[in-house]
Amino acid sequence: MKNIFFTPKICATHKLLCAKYSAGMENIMEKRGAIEIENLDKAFGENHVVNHISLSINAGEFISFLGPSGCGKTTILRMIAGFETIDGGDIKIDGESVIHLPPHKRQVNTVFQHYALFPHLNVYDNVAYGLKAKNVSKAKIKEEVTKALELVQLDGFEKRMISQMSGGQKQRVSIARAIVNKPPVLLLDEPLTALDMKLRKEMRYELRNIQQKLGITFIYVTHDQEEAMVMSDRIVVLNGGNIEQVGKPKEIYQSPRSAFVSDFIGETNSFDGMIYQVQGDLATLQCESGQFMAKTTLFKEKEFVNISIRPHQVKWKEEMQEGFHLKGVVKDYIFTGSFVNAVVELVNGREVRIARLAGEGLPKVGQTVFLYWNPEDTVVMKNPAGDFGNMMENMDLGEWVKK
Amino acid sequence: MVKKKHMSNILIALLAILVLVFLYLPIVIVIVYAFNADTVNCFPMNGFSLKWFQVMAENKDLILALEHSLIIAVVSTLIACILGVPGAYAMYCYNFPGKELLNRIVMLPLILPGILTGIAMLTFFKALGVTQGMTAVILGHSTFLIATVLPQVYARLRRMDHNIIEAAQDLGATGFQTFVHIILPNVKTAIISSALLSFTLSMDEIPVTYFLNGVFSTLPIQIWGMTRNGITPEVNAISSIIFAVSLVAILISNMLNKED
Repeated sequence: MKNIFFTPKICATHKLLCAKYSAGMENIMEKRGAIEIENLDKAFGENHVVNHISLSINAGEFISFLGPSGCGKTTILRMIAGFETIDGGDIKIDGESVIHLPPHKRQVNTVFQHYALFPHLNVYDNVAYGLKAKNVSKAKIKEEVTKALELVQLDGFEKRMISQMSGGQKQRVSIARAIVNKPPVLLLDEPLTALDMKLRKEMRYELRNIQQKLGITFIYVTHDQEEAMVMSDRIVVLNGGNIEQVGKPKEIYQSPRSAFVSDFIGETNSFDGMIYQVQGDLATLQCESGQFMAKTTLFKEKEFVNISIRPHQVKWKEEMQEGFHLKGVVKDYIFTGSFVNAVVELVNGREVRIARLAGEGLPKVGQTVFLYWNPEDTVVMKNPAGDFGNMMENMDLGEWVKK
Repeated sequence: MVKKKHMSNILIALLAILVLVFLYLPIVIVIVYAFNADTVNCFPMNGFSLKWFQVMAENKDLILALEHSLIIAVVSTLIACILGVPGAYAMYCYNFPGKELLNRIVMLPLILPGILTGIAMLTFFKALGVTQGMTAVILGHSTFLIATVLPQVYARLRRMDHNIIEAAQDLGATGFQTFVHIILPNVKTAIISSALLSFTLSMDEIPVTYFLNGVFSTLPIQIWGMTRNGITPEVNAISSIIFAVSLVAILISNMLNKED
């Protein structure tokens, strides 16, 4: 009965949607390349490299797969490209399942890690190859190749052989070779790893620019968190074939959902500790190195947790601060350009990193300092060890008792 | 110390020169005698002459044998390439049980004594009903020439950047397009060089040919027959030409192999 009552309204909405769709057709055509990964699974023998992963990628999004080597990021990319068979699940591009298609029939193009340019062809013919394989007319090929080479700022290099190009130029050729086909999705497999530091930094902005100009989906595989942070709309952090977290770069940096993420994204100091006392949303924690405070509402007393704090959020003073008991000695300073990384050794030998702007007044090496921080800056996460009672049953507490 | 080292270097150089002389002097002598004005191979020569090349050119049997040899060499080299190149590509693309074994077995006809291969083929072809003659010789040569083409092309494929195959597929090339546009140009030099080597190997092959030829003669067999009654300057002339052609072919083959 209710259904009948509601039907007219649904119809109206639907009509409205349809009207919008046709009016904005051009706009929608530009934004192709939405990808739906459903329950994707892959194992190489005993090694389960991709573990039932589901993920939605929006059209025109710059998304990074970030993780250490062996986390499955490249395998997922290769499954989208069609170079790897899948053991289970589905991959849809713009709503259509592609898993039964061979690589040459998929509407995606890849920028390979080591360029994979054709050594027997010159720059022009390399870029033109995709169109030639699809029997596009010569005039059209010339027009498109010229446009693509302009976009990567390689106009004038058409006649050069690949062996005469530098690393950065080769990478541009391989980008041009992929985008000339106007794929809705571009897959990039650690494309900047072979370049030197300076070039790598320049290319990041260029890649981001190209992506914005084309308005297509970029899936960018990298193990370099800085790269992922600078370029991406969203980052997918992968570990051991599982998605640890998906989110905007800022989200992932500021509120990592697991110890792995906080450790992998940016530098961090992490402590394993136990909640000693909870007062409102402030918890006092105890760990091997001493006692400190953190803000959390998710945990109870006697629960084991993992706490992480970024190096630039750690503060120091010569006298103890209320709620904190972390005594240490300044051991070393490491200069990294505009920042100084201080290494402070705590009483139990554990090292804490503290980042300061270079030129700030710094305590001398060997001086005793007391560490503290704003409890809101900490990220408190569940520790796999569980709670105190659990731990007593399962573990030898010798280490803990000593301190 | 320095002097001692110097001395040993000189000794090694001398030894090397002696070995080279031992290896190549006979060939030099054959070439020199080809230009001998006299009928008998003796030194010093009685003058320079090209007449033996003319005599050779007028020897109809010899020219016919040369024709046979050329046909056999060209056709069997072609067959070896047509079978060997896709074979190498298949071995490169697919992993199958016994792949390494196959890689070695393919080399067998080159390693085994020709007489063994010859007898084996004669017996086998008889059983198949292939009569001795041109076809049998071409089949025989093709079989052992694959042994030069396949491993060389396979080795080149393995040195090639595997990613370019995926890159081609990624850009929309079908398997066939990838093979023609990407694979062939990249192993082109290996194919030409192994084809040249095959050609020269086929041109001077005796044992296998001897078992399979039946009534007709190839160049090496013709020459062999002619030398039964002593070596004539005519034989020297044809030998010099074969030497020159083989040398050029092998040099080109070497040059192409060095490239990349």
